[in-house]
Amino acid sequence: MATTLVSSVGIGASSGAAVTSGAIDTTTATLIVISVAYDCGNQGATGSTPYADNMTAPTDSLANTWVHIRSQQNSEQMESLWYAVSPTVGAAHTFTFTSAGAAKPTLHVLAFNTTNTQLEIHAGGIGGFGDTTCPMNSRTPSKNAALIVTGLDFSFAGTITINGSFTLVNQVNVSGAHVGGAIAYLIQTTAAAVGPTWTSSTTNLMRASMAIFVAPDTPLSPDPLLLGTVVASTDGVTVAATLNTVGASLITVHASYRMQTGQEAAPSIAPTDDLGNTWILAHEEHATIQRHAVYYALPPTASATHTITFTGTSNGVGVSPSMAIGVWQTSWSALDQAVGDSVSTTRFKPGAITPAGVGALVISSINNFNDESSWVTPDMPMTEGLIRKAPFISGRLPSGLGRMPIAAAYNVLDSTDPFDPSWYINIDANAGNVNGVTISFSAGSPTQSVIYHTETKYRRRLRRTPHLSNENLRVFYTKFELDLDRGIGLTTGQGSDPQVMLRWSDDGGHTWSNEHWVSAGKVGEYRKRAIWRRLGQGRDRVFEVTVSDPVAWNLVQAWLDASAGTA
Amino acid sequence: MAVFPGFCGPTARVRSLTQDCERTINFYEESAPGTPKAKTRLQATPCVSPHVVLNDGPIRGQFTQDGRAWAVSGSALYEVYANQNADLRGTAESDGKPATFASNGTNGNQLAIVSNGKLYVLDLTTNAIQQITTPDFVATPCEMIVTSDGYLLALKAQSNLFQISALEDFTTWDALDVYEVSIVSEQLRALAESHREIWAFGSQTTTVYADVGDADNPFQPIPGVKINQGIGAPYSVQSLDNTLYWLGGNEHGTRIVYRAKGYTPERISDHAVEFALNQYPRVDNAIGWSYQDEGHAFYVLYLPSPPDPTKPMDHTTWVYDVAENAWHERGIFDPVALRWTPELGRNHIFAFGHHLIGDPFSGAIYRYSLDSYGDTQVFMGAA
Repeated sequence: MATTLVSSVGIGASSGAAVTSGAIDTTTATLIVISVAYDCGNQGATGSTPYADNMTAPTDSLANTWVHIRSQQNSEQMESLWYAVSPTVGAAHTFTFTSAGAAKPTLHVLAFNTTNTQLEIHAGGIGGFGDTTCPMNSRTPSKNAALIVTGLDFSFAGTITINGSFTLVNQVNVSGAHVGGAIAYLIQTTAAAVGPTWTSSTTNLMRASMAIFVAPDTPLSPDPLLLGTVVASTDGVTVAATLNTVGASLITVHASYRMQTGQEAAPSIAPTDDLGNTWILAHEEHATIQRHAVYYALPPTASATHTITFTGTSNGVGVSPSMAIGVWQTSWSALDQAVGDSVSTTRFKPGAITPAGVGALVISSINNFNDESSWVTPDMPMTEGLIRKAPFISGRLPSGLGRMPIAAAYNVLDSTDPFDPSWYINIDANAGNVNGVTISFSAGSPTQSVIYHTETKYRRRLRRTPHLSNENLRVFYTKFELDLDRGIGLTTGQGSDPQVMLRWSDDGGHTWSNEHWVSAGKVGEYRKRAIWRRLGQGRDRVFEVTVSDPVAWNLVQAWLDASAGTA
Repeated sequence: MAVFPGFCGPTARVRSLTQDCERTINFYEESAPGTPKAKTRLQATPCVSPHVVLNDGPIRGQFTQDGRAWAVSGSALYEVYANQNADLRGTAESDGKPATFASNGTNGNQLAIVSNGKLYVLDLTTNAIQQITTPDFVATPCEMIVTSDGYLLALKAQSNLFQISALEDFTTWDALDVYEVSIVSEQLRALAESHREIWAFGSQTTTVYADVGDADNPFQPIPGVKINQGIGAPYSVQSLDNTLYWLGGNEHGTRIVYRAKGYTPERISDHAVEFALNQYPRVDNAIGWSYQDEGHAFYVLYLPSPPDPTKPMDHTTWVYDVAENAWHERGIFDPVALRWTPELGRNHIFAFGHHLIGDPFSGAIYRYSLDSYGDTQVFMGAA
């Protein structure tokens, strides 16, 4: 499906706090993006950086849920992008943003008909005071036909343009009741770096955000992730999560925390849980006082209310912890490889692994320390080669206490080729230190994980004899004796009195008599005779001997008493 | 009383039940030396007990050498140990067909595995496995491999081409070391090694190559040898009792079991076996395996595709006993469905003092013993 713009609207607030758009027809939209520009200095926020915490989501007349993409703040204004995939749509769809304070918002909405419903990465850009340009940081979609949407907030009136082949859909100029805003989009053909520059006809003060949407990753089938979540400490020392882990064959805990200066070399702290699982350290990375440690329990004891806890210490080891927890169902029974790195970069590769087997479960996780403000929003770093699962991914945690963002992603590999996943960290101004760990599960003795059961079978054995006939005259059978190893019975149970079944056919094997059972002798009954008497008469007889008891059968020969008739 | 003539005998059920409907299932004849009370008896066949369960299976191939053993189960290669454990060694992608193995032993410390058309080489020293992806390996997709004189010979699927590796190095290939069979026009279906000779089976004929010692072109056709009998099931060929056995076929028909007598195919199936084989909708997927137990060399023919349900034939496994020159059937009787299913094996190695057979239906490798009188069968999943 080619991406098309279905409808759009842009409007500035007429009062200081709220703005509602006019109605647009979004009937065929599969993706709606909202850009809000506003004065965050009047939003009621405190401090210089925690604007994301005070972010208010837009609303709409059809009660869709709006997911925050990112916000770019500069001076006291902010541009903020939101989106909804597969939204409830309508012919008269309106959108509203109500700020906590007199934020003078301007609202833009773009409704697309597209299959590009996966948010891959975002970027920001800033045009400083007196500048006429606001260059966006460059990003490269991983797939062709990407949809890129960018929104702008500007402080002074002017005419806005954008380069890079973007289509400028609308501009709302600055007024006393609202800040300036603009929105533009680009539909790529071939994946290429994208980083447009917004330009104002006047010197200005600008901030912009950009989001890239691509076709969704192919879902994993079966998806090994049963449940994923991220939790952060609220007291600076402990963090806990209660999850339903029933069915899990593996639980991973990706812990992120700080160490006080002087404690950098202290051992990593293992999580604990209420079921007494043993948590094995897969790998830990640290850069100065920033620690990222990955633990796992394999196989875990699980429950519907399984509480996993990380507890730091009072002497400054494990401060401000957060955890990403993965609850997995995988047949692998052992950790194969674990690699990690700790660097300052915007494109981060924790390290390559070479899976031991096809189907390896690879989990990669990162945290970031230096510039908390750069993780402006609940973030979704782009990954290469990894499947992202929204509930298992997280970014910036609530501010204060110095908690670090943590994110995790995973994939199941379809080959044993070396695999080198990378993360694009959404840090535009300051790369910061990144701790990353990639672990893979693709090893171990299969006898520990394969689920099977055994059944005891008693092997049926039979001998169907040659025809017995005498020129098609009647033959009278008075006795059949089987010569076999006798007294072979087991001491107890099935086979303690092994039985031999005899039946016969008088029509060459088409139909058969009833079964006639005799004992082959219990243990030690070496003189037991397996004899059948009064076997009737037939013109064309076939005997069949069948045994199935679990004993050492040896059929040596048979004797027969038969006399020929005359008819 | 008179001795029942022919009470002990082979399966000999022919197309006419009126002529002969004899069957021997899970017994085989054994002639006694000396002066026995009876010349032959019916000996119960072995039963199974799990040695190890690897994964969901099936066990597509096994190989043993120098006290070590490996198996391909599903899409994974494992090393199997005497202590009934196993370690995953890597991937061997699955196409459901048998995986074939070859090793150069201590000369190269390599084990080659072909599975799903791909060639893998396991370093027997480091246990590292690699897939051979060099463009110089032109025998891809690869059908099967054999080894002879330190070379690995790889048959390219649906072609008349096989390629040889570097001497004692299964990871090194030269795109020029390729043999295209031109003596006959048909495609090759299987390779087998016997007496340092390579039998290149087509569907109608077989040509035989030998290592003549030429450094550039070591394998050359043996002059005057062209066998007018091909193979009807590529994975039916087995080396047993110092010769080759296979399910044959040529332009005149198929579904006859042969063994090589020199370069002459000797028919070892009889009309009863051939009648049975003709009740199956397909036999080109038949898998041969073989073993020797107490002097009986058995050629076992596992037929994965069941007989046509409208035909009067049970789905058993057919076994030729070289010692008795007689056929019998083996299988598991389902007392609920009242039908026979094939024996619980599709390949065999003798390792750690046990006959180990690979389950066609699960990831189990079973011990196969005459001293086991009942089966402990593995089923995947919880009970």
